[in-house]
This record gives sequence, structure tokens and C-alpha cells, in this order.
Amino acid sequence: MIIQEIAQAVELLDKKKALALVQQALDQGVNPVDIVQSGIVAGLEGIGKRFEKQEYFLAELMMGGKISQACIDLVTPHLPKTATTKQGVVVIGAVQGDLHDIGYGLVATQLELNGFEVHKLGVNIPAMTFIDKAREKNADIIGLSAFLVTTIPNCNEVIDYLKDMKLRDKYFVIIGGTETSQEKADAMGADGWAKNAVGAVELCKRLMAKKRGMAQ
Amino acid sequence: MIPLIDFQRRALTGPVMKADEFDLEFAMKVRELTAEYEIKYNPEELVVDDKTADAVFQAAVQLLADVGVYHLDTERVIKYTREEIETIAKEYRENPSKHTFGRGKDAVTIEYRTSTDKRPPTLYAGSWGVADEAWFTEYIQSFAQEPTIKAMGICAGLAKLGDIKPKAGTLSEIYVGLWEQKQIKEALARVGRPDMHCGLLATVSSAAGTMAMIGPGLREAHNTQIGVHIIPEMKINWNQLVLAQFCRERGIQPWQSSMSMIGGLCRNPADASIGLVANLLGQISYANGKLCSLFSNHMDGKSATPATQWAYSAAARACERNIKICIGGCASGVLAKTPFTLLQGAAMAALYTASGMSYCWIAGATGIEARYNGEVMNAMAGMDRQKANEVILAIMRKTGEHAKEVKGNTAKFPDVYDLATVKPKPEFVAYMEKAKEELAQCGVPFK
Repeated sequence: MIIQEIAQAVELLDKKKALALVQQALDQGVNPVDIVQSGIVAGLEGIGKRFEKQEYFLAELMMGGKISQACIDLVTPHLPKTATTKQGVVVIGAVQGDLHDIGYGLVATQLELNGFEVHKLGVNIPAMTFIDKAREKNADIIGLSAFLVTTIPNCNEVIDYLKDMKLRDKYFVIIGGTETSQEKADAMGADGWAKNAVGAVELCKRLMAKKRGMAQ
Repeated sequence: MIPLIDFQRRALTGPVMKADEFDLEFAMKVRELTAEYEIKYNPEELVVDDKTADAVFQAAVQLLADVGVYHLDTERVIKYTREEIETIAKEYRENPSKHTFGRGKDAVTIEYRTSTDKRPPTLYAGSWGVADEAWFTEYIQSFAQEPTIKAMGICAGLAKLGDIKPKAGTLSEIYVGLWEQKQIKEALARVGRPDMHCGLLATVSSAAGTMAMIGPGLREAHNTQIGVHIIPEMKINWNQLVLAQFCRERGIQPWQSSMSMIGGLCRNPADASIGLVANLLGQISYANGKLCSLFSNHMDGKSATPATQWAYSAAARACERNIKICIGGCASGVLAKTPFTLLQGAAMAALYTASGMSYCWIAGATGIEARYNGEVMNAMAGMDRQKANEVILAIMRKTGEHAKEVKGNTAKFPDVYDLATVKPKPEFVAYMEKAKEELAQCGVPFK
């Protein structure tokens, strides 16, 4: 019962209530993995559905991300060491020269809502910053956003650095943005391209499944 | 006016904030103001009334006063008082905007106009998007050779020149940009309009690259504009401020444009209309330009829906009545081998004309489409608001009927123009004529 209440509080963006319920559940000895999976993550899925129905908008997605992170932070010390709450780790930003942040911000938020640990780097990010952050956070995926024809080559640059540093196999690289395409992603040797935020989530899930498959 | 140098202080001393916190504050405040000022989207009334327009303006002033403009480099908020914003708007209102572009016989003056103005908006339409070097010059020429096009708001850019891809902030950006300027000059020379205005620099986007394009025989004060526009929603960095200063020193009219996305931080057209005007007020505070283009779209990129049209009209009319700056619009859709190609842009051109637009900087994907869109603007100018609304709704319904024809019929410039003669192919002209007939049936009173 309390698990469903957590899910509902997250979905309805009631941070105070969600945190209180999570604490209450922990005090009652509810399995912390269930709190995360059936409570917080289920609430996030509800937010996603409301977004699709246009009942929620970008601001709600952002709020949902913040609320769920606060809840997960509360649960994390109680989780068994082997438990994982995340789908994968993504480092994402707009490449150097590009200042457009709504598109990549939406992708980042959707990924967070779908259980990815996301590190948003901001806009106008030099190639080496993506790589340094990916190494620091032990990322699985590097997401590159480029909205202008003149900034798309800066996606290539990240891939070129990864190759030259013998790190290309360590990370999946995905690209997106108005002037990008699957064809351009293939030409530069990226691991994927998505047209929009929903597509980016599916792409990241596919890539993580591939990685897990490779690891087995 | 706030002295430009004061933005240095504001950008370095304003409240520290992360970009996503700023976004959230913007989104929640715009909702609050939409409710407080009772601004409501009406899909049956796309040309917005005076009362709604004034409410949008007041809400936008409050939005800017409450949230400010975010500086991406310093991660601080540039703050304004409500009095400062009202003073800026008043100074504009008391000196309705106008500016002359081009030189000699190729000069054109763009002026503030109202929604009921009998003068049509200036056809200031250029090529746009990504072109190929094989037909870049002819593409520019297709616009420059149209006598009714008085200036070009923008020229298309290249994704590749030979093996070189333009990369922002590097030598390749300048290399490709200089080639483009040479070819634009060639196109203008071919049609005998050497001093025509060429609008916003397209491929070149970095501050250094932009400055490298300015000089005798290249872009000069009479034939260029430089982008200093706010990034949606309400964000700038040093580039915009530095380039605003550069424009001031060189006598170049800055390129201002305001965009708000429906379904992003703005939920709906009412939110977006406030965002559009607040973005405009923010950028005229540092750029002091005479023109500003408005644009709204949905998250999926659609920009010719009743919702985007309403947002445009509400914002344009708010500016018409309260700022008196020259407002521009972008009226174009998919280039396709069907009458749809013109109808979609024509609905926008008609709405913008009836909403007080002064110029149309993109009016179709080719020169001939711009010509026909110009005829639509000429026909719609001075039309009563209610009548204009009926005509626009009729055009949008007609556009919807043609929408299914687009799949499999999209085109590129060489598909619809003969590159040797730079004339539209007969079948493309036939689509235009068919679209014109349908527009007339919708009530467009062609002259």
C-alpha cells in the first residue's frame, strides 16, 4: 500500500509527501529495492505517461527528476551493495559552439525518468570535457547534441579523440539535434542517433542491453 | 536604455543559478502569469484581439522582471527592474522603428506597421536551410531576381565545400563563409542588384567567424545583419553581448529573433506568446535593434499549426500595440511538388500580415514561392481582423486537405528549378497557380 502511495506522490510531484512516505517505508522495514522499483520508478513511469498525454510538460519532467533523485538518495544507504537502481550512466551536453539547451535538456530529463544516471554538462562543451567527465563518472554513453551545421563536426571531434586515446570501445557515442541524422551518425562512426527524446531513451536502452549482452 | 557596458556588471554579479533551476523558475512563472492575466488560446480566433495582446505584453514585462535573462557562461541571472523594462518599451513606442537596408537603387526601408495597415509587409525573403555548392549561387539568384523581393533576410548555408566541413570557431568556418559571400555577390551581380541587402549570416555563427565576414566587398553595414538573439528560453552568453557591441560600433543593424517552443518550458500557445515577448524585451535591452523576428514551434518541429499561429499573433500584436518595433515572420513549410508547398506558407503570411508584421524574412523555399507569398501579403494588407481570421482558417483547412500529398513528393531546389536558366520548371509553376486559385477560393483578394 505504502509503495503505491510513494508512486502516486512522485507522479503527482509532491516532493514533501514522497520523501515522508519513503522514510516511513524504510522505518517499517519495507524492502528498499521494492521502494525504488515499485514506488519511485513506477511514479516516474506515471510522469512519462502524463507527458505523452500532454498533461505534463518539460517543467514537470524536470521536477519529477529532482523528486525521484531526492527519494533515491534517501534509500541508497539501505540498498544491498549488489543492488543497482540505474539503467546506465550517461554524460550528455551540447558540443562546442552550440548553445541550444532545450533539446538536450529534454533528452537528459527523459533518460533520468527512465532510470539512467545522467550527468548534464551544459552547452558549448569542448570535446575533451566530454571525455574527462565520462572517465570520471565511468559512463556507459556519451550523448552529443548539435543543432547547427557548423557544430556537427564537433561531434566527430569527440569520436576522433576517443579513437586516438584508445577509448573508443569504452563508451557508446550517440548524437542528436535538428541538422543531425542517422546517415550523419553512421558517417562519423557514432553508435546511434535519435530524432527526439523518446527515441533517445529507446536507443540508450538498446545500447545498454547490447552492453549487458556483451558482458555476459 | 541600459548602457551596454552595464551588462558586464549584471552578468558578473547577478544571482548564481544552475540552468535547469532557471528553466524551472521560468516555466512556473510563465504559468502563473498566464493565469493571472487570463490569457487563453482560442483556435477559432487566430488573429488575436487588442485586449489579449495587451495582457500578453503586461505578462511578458512581469516575466522578464521576475526571472531575468540567464547568462550561460557566468551561470548568473541578469536582472532588471520592472521600471527599466517599461522604460525600454516606452522609448521604443515613442520612436516607432524603421531601418534602411541596401544602398542606392537597391535600398529598402522596413518600417513598423500595424495589423490594419494598408501597406503590406516588406517582402524581405531569402533562401534558407542547407544548400549544395553545385547550386548554391542559383538558389540565391532565384530570390534576388524576383523584383518584388526588396531584400533578402537570410541566405542559405553549406554543410560542405569540397571536402571541407565548416566547423564553428575554426578556419573552416571562415573558409566556407568567405566562399559563400563571394557567390552571393556573384548572384547579385547576375541580376543587376549589387547593393541588395543579404540579411543574417547563416553558416558563420561564432563571434570570430562573424567578424571575419565584415569588410569592404564582403558584408558591410548596408548589406548585413549579425545574430545577437537570445537562445530560448531567455539565455545568452558573452557572444551575444560582444556582437551587440560590434554591431553598434560598425553601424550594423543587429539580428534579433525571439522563439518560444510549445510543449517545452511553455505548455501551450498562451505561455509561448508571453515567452516570445519577454525574449524580445530581453534582447532589445542589450541589442537595441529595430527589427525582431518571432517564431514558435512544437516539440516535434511543427510550426504551422493553429497553436503556433495564435502564439505568433498574440506576441506580434502585443509588440505592435506596446513596443512599435518592426516584427518579422518566417512563412514557409516543406518544399514539395504539390500546391501544399505554397498553401502552408501562405496561411502564415496571411496571419502575420493581419497581425502587424513588418517583414517576412523567409517566405517560401524558393524565389517563386516568395513571389506568390508576397502577393498574399499584398492582398491581405488592410483586411478587417474578423474577415482576415476567416480567410486564414479557410487556408489552414485547405492546407490540411493537401497534407497527405506531401509524402513522397518532397523536393530540393534543383528538382523544381532549371539550373541553367534559373527559372522554375513549368510543373512547379502549375502547382503555384493551382495553390493561388485555391487561396482565392479561401477569400484571399488577390490584386
